Parts: sequence; structure tokens; C-alpha cells
Amino acid sequence: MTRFICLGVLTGLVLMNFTAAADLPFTDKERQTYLESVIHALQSTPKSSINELEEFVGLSRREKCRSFIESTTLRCLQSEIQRNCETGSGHAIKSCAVLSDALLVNKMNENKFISRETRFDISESSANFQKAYAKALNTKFGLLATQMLLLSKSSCQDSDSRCLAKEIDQYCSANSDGKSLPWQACAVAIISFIQ
Amino acid sequence: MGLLILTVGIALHSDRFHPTYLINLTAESSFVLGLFTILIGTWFNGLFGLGKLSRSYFRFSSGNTILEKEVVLIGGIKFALVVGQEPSITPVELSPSLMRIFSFLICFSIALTCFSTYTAALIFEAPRRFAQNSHICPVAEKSSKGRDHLDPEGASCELVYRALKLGYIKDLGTCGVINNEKIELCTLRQFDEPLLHYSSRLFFQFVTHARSEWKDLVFWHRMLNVFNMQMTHIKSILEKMTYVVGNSPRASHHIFTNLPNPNTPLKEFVDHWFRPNKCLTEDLKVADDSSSMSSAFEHVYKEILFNPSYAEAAGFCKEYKIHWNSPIESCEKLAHAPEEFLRSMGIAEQIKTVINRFLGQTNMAVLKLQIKSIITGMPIPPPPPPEAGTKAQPFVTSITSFQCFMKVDKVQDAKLSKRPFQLFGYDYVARDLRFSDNSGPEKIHIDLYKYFAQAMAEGETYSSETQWHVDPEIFGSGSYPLTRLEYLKYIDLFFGSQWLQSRQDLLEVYPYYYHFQRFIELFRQDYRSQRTRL
Repeated sequence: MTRFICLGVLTGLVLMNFTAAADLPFTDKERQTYLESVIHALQSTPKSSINELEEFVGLSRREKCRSFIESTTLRCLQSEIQRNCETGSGHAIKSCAVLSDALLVNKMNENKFISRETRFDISESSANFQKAYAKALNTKFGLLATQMLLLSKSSCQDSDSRCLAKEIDQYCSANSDGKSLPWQACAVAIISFIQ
Repeated sequence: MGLLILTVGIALHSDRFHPTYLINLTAESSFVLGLFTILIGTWFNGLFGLGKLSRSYFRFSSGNTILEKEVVLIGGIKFALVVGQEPSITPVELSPSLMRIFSFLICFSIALTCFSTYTAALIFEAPRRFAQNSHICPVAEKSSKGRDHLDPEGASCELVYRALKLGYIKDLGTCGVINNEKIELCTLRQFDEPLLHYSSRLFFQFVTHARSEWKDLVFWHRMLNVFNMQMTHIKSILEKMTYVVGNSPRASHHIFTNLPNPNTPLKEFVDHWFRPNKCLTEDLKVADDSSSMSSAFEHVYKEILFNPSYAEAAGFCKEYKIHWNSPIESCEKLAHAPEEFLRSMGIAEQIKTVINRFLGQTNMAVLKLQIKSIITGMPIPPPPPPEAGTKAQPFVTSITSFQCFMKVDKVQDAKLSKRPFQLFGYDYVARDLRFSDNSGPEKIHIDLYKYFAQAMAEGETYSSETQWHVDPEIFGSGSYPLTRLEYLKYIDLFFGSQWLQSRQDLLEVYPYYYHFQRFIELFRQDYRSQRTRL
């Protein structure tokens, strides 16, 4: 009898835990699982497809979703990438939603990494702005990734994307606020560089 | 030993032994410190013969046992400190190497106190500055056109230059204007001028100037008037010097709270005596410590007022004081009997000093104007009328202020009261905020930020004008989670959105910096319009 009661209580606890997880979809475990899927998506998708999606996000931001109000741009971009992945050219790309999600966050937070003044300097000093800008952005992402690797206590194997996702989540949860970066911008920047 | 304690104590008091200070020393300053320590330390050790056996000694004597070659330094018959050279007594000696280390330590402390990164840089820059020859006229560059480029009228200006050289005229007139720029005649030593000629020129210049100044004793009369004027304001002048030398505060803001002090008395003592500049250095990296309400309050206080990562600090941290464990009715007592209350808290004199410093500054500004008028021969402006003192009212209350920040148990007791009172002839209003916070220590003290902002500044303008409504439903399960997290930027914990406090998962990734930044920037904007420093 006691055994049944204990089993019942334990089952109840497990069920409660599941319910809580469903109510809170942004817990560390959920975040890490999603980051792992972003890593997988970036690894398994051809570079040309990623570039295509990146171009789509960039173009939408510059043209259709251009606004002085950031929230309006965000809302517009969200609906654009959704439309693109469901019925547009992105439909053919596997993991379109995951990739577009990460690329959108990257695009929305570019100004956190490269200030307007630096942008202007790059445009003044380089012949190919796009190339120089991408390089500068990649350097910033690299700095973030390097700091994470230097601060991390565990060393993940190359193939262990679960471990890497966990490390990225922990680093960004602890440090992104101090760097005036949103968690998602920090995580996506590191993944973009590592891939 | 006394010198060692004194020098190390001074260096410690000036925060010079603080690891942050030592780490941030430049190569130049480290070199100067090392050189000074080694050279002067060795010289000091040799000059005072610290490595040799002592000829004299100090000794405590009790019961009138003073020997022949001993002299009483301090004390009486029963007990005295004596200094002597009695050969039968062998003084206790420190080893020569230890004495050498001590002399190095003394010199290192002196060097640390005297040389900063700035002074070391000045020392290294000195040869270059001396080599600049600033007392010699710069050599004019000759253009391909030769002299003509100085001559807007062509050759006719040659005559003007010659006339100037011979002393017939004192101004180049239109010949001195090139591209709308007036040429200044350089009266410094010419590049090829002999030293004797230059010296004689300086001497005759001085004599001519002195003769014109002393003619009819005009200069003397002016100086006498300036002296008399300074004597009239001698109190303000002396006070100003006292304030500057004594590093008196330029503002004094006090926060009374009934919360217990989160720091131990020992830490307070050490910080007060050995780390007086702690709030300027260590507190810049404010860590969130929400282990108790007091720690959380201290964190909020530093973040809101001083953390420079948000915006320019609201004030100078050394001029702010939290009075922990104050009675809950502090502001009532302050309004009822201000001087008595401030005296009991030991801050009445400080407040008075700041007010006097301000009044002294006003007097000095008037004196400066009057002296300028005397020297230039203009009519002396009259002293400000007595009613001008009333204009000082808003300024005095902006450099000295009192706030109460009291925690109460019952929600119905929470309120903000303004308690007017008069202190040293000025009208003050103490802001008395009573708040009720029953949240656990793990909860983010967003309310504490709001309460403290309310207690410190009038009319806090933080509003929802730029806010955008975000439906909580957006943070449910589904695709595009990273994009959805971007919406957290538009959910402000400081303004509504209380539902977020129950979403632990979102709070883990909430962009606090974004909302704190806006809140603190707006608060400081308001605060600076009401409070300032001299």
C-alpha cells in the first residue's frame, strides 16, 4: 500500500514537472534544446541556403519592414519570415523556421555590436562596405565566443552540440546583461561565429 | 617605526595600496616609484645609519630608576619613557636587512603618495617641454613669393614695416591683415637676438611699464583699494582657503532609513579610515546582492545614483550618506526640531559648512567683480541688496537635502509625505517615503527602485509613452522562440507588466540593462534638475 502511495506521489510530481515545463517554455532546458537545434540547422544546411535566408531577412528589413520604430520592424519581420518559410521560397529549405529565427535576431541586434559611428567609419574607409561590415561583425562575434571559451569550465567535444548549447546558454544568461546584450543576441552571435 | 607607520598609514588612507590602483599604474609611474624607492631608500638607510648598532635607546622606566646617561622624555617619577646612552644597556636591534626593507617601504609609501600616473607623465614630459623654447619667437616660414605674401598692398607695405621697425608707428594697420587674420607682433626673443640685447629690452620694457603704472600713484591707489576690498571680505577669503585645503564637501544629501546596516561595524571602520575613496572605485562594479532588504536597498541606491554605466552619475558619492537604523519618525523629528535632530545625528555642522561654502562663493564672486572694476578703473558695482539672499533659497536646498526611506509592515501605512521645515533660515522639505515590501529576498526589487526614486526626486517622469503593448500569450510554446524573446525589450517591469514577475523562465533572460538604463536615465534627468553640488 505504502509503495503504491509513494509511486502515486512520484508520478504526480513528474506530471507536475511536465505541466510546469509546458507553462514555462523558456526554461534553461528548453533554451538549450532550441540552441542545439539551431546549431544542427546551421551545420546541416548548405551555405547557399543560409545566405539566401540571410539576404531575405536583410532585404525585408531594409525595404518592406523599414521603420523608425523598432517594434514595428520586429513585428513585420516576424510575419515576413513566417510567410517565407510557410509559402515562400524558404519553404524548400529544411529548418527554415529555426534558421530564420536566428538570422532575424542577429539582424535586429547588429547595432548592439557595431555602433552607428563604426558603421560610418567602415563606409568611409572600405571599398566594399558589405564585406567590411560583415568582417567587423564577425570579429565582434568572435570576441564574444572567445570570451565564452576562456571563461568556460568544461570543454565540449566538437561533435557534442548539446554540451555547446548548454555552455552558450549559461554564458549568455550570466554575462549578456553586463554587456548590454539580450540573451538571444548573445547566443545567436556565438553560434554564428562557431559555425 | 613611527615613520613607517605614518607613511604607510597615509598611503593606505589615500587608497594608494589598493590593488586596483597598483594594477593600473603605468610603466612610467612604476619606473619612477621603483627608482625613488631604491635610490632614496638606500640613501635614507645610509644617512641615518639604520644598519648600524644604535647609540641611543628608548626605555620605559618605573619607580624612579633613571640612570646617569638617561633623560626623561615623557612621564613622571613613577612611570616614564626615557631616552638614554647608558653603555650597560644593550638596546634591542632589528636586523640590518629588516631595517633596509623598512626604509624601502617608507620610501615606497612616500613615492606612492606623491607620484601618481599624472605626475610621472609630467616628469617624463619635462625635457620635451623645456626644449620647446617658448620664450623665442617662432621662425616665420618664407613662401615662394617671399615677403609679398604678407603684403596685401604690394610694395607700399614695405614702408610701413620699416616705420614700425624704427618705432615711428606702433600698429601695422591694414598691412598687418592677411586673409582677415591680424598679425600679432612677437615681442619675445628673436631667433637671432643676442641674450644681452633681449635682457636690456626686457629691462626697459619693465621700467616703461612701471613708470606708467606708478605715475600719479594711480597704480598704488588701485592696489590699496584692492587690498581694502580684500580686507572687507577677509572672512570669505580665509574660509574659501579653509574649504579648499580641508576638502570640504560641496553638497550634503542624507537618507534616513529604518533598515539595519548590512555592513559590519568593523567593515565600516576599515572603509572609513583606510578606504575613503571606496565608493569611487569599487562601487562602480555594483553586484546585485539581494540576500537581505538592506543589501538590496544598498544595491538600488548605488545603481540609481552612481553607477556610471547608465548615465552620468547623479552626484558625488562621498557627499551622500545613508543613516541606517534611523527611527521611523526621523523625518517628523527633523521637521519638528531640525537643528536638534541633525545635531543628534552628528550632521548639523556638515550641513552648515556646505551652506557657508555656498554663501562664501557668492561673496567671492561679488569680490572678484569689484576687484576687476578697481583694476580696470570702472565704477565699482554696489554689493547685492539684502533681499538677494532669498534667491539663494532654491540653490541651498538643492545642495543639501533630507529624505526618509522607511519600511513599514502594513500596506495601509505606505505613503509619501512631504514635511516642510526651516533650517538655518532656509525653507526645506523632507520627503518621507514609507513603503511596504513583502516580497521574498529572491524576488527582483523592482519596487524598491521605484520607491527610492520617489523618495529622492519630485515628479518622476517615467511614463509609458514609448511603451508598446505586448500580449503575455506571445511567450507561450511555439516556433520562433528567439524572435519572440525580442519582445521582452518592450515589456517594462518598471511600468506595469507585473505578470512577468511570475515568469521565472523569462526573468532569466530578461534584458534588465535595457529597462534599467531607461529608468535610471530618466530618474537622473529629474534628479539633477532638483539636486546639485557646488
